Amino acid sequence: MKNILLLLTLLLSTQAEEYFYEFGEKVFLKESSNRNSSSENGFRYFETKHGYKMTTTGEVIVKLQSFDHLSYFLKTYPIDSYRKLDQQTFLLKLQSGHNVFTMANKIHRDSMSIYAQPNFIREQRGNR
Amino acid sequence: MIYKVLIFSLFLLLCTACQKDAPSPPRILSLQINCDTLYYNHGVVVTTDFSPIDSLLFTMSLSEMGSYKYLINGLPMAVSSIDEQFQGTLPLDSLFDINNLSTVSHTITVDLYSHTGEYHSSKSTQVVLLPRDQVIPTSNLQLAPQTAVITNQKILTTDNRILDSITLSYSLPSTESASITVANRTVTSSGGAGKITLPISDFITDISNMNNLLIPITFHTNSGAIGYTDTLLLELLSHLPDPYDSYAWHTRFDENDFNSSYNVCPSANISLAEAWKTTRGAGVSIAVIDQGFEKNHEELLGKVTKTYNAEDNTTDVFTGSSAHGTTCAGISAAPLNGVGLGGAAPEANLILIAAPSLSDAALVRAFDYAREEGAGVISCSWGSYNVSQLLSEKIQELYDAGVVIVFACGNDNINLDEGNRNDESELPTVLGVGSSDEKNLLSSFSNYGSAIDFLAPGGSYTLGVLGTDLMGPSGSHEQMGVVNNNYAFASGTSFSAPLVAGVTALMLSVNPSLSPDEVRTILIESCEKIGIDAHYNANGFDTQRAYGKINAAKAVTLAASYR
Repeated sequence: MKNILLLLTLLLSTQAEEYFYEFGEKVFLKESSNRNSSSENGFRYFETKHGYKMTTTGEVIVKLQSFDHLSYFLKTYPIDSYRKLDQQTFLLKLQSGHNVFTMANKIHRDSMSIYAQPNFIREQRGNR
Repeated sequence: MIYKVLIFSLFLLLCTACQKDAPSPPRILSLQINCDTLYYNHGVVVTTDFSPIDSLLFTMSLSEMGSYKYLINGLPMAVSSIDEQFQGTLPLDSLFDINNLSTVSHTITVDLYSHTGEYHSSKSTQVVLLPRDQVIPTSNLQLAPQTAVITNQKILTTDNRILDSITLSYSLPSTESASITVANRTVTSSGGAGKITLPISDFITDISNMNNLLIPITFHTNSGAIGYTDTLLLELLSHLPDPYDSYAWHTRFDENDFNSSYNVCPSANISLAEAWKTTRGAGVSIAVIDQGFEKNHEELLGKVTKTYNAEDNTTDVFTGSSAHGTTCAGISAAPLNGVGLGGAAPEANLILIAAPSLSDAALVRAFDYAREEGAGVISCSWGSYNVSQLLSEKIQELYDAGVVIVFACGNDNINLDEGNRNDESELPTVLGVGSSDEKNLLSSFSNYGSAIDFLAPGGSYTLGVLGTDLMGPSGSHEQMGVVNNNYAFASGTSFSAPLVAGVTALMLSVNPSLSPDEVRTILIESCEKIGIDAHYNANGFDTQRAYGKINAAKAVTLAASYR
């Protein structure tokens, strides 16, 4: 029985489900079982319920209410470095050991942000 | 019996011996005349080097010398003792009615008889008489250059230099002085070879609406022997001819073996060559967001105003080994410069933005950079079926700012309305583009859906559209045996999108105030309805072909008058 529970735990840990907010809804992602989750650069591989593949890069994108709030975010969250994408949008590199989904969702719920999500590489449809 | 055989054999031998000894009749081996082409002008016959001539010299070669009679064109000549090589003269008035000259090919026939009147042999040759005032031997009279280009109110040589003068080169007999009048200027030559150089301003005063230039030439030798009036042509092109234009079935149709062998439909193109008579997109910047840009490609040099890598914040855009970005950039804006082929907006500028991973962050940065650098239109030949909120909002922002964004709709031959797809090309803030092929039909690979706007040529599995490839042997190998390694035929909606972006640049160059929605409306209004089994509804929309295939010439005309 113990062995079965252990196996189930292991199975669940390799099939981790995460979510993020997009278009006002929670989007659930299932970690891909056929990709090595602990690959280089902290990339992790996921799939939406519709089968679209998405890869996280260990970074969070945040759209701020105002540029002035940037220093608040840098002090409040475990941010290693950041890059400006436009006047309101920033790419945040998290300190190691932090889950991008957990941090993205925390920042998303912060009243000083308009929106936050992990930085995804979305699988492209093929070119001919 | 033996005696009979011997007698018969002896008889045969005697016959053979008799045959060998019988003389064969003399024959004319060859007949040559000293001029096989003559010109006539004002009742004077001249040679091709302008020398007056009243008789021809002929040379006859015979199989043996003897005493013969001969007839020229049936007229008996004197009985002569003729050597094996015989020369004689032939007065022209025995050949032509000298007072009533006309263009004709005259046959000269010599019949050879023995002095007793026994026919031996005949030989013929020909002399052609041409009117001098319809013949301009290029070796004697040449205009340089023979072709020039009018662009941006300037007259250029085909190697892209300002053309300020034209030169007439002539060659006269060294003994013949002449007066030569070109347009209103007359020069006198003492004979021999010479040149007349005249400023182009003598011929062209109003550069607008200028067509080919006919330059009148009057030529009179002082002896009066030669003189004619004619015109020489200076062909004025609207752009520098590009060597591969004839294979660019998406821009125009040429009747040639290549198009015949691939059954290219004459109306498969989008009338770009026609649109270029009005505009070539000057003053508009096209941003291409892609990967694999070879910015030093011979067709992109001098076109690219900015390069940016949205991933690593550098200017390096030659990412990966793919030529995809290079092809898209060339198809949208390769110049008309005598190299390769023209893109849709040959005088538009290019902003090349690489986003190799197409991560959400890189795309936000890429679009923002395009706007910062003043792009009027952005071409995107990629998509995910899974567009991010972040990108949707960024695109909305640019749309509100008046930037036109074009997206290819993909090559999986699927209906985007089905299967929970949310593709970038379906956003209401972009122009979504499908593909048509060389038969002027929907490409079999093209995606479609109710949010797609129109089609533009993207080729088929058989024949792609011609575009810029990586320089040299790397890159695609689809040269189809007609273009060099710097170019390739490529198929996919990826190449339809930059065509639409280029046409948008043409429209914006004639009407910079057009909004993205107005651009869409004009492109839809000017679409051609294509497809054999199409079902366009009352709004002009067909499920698979959207509003049809764009037409650049019509779109530019509509854009120019759109208020």
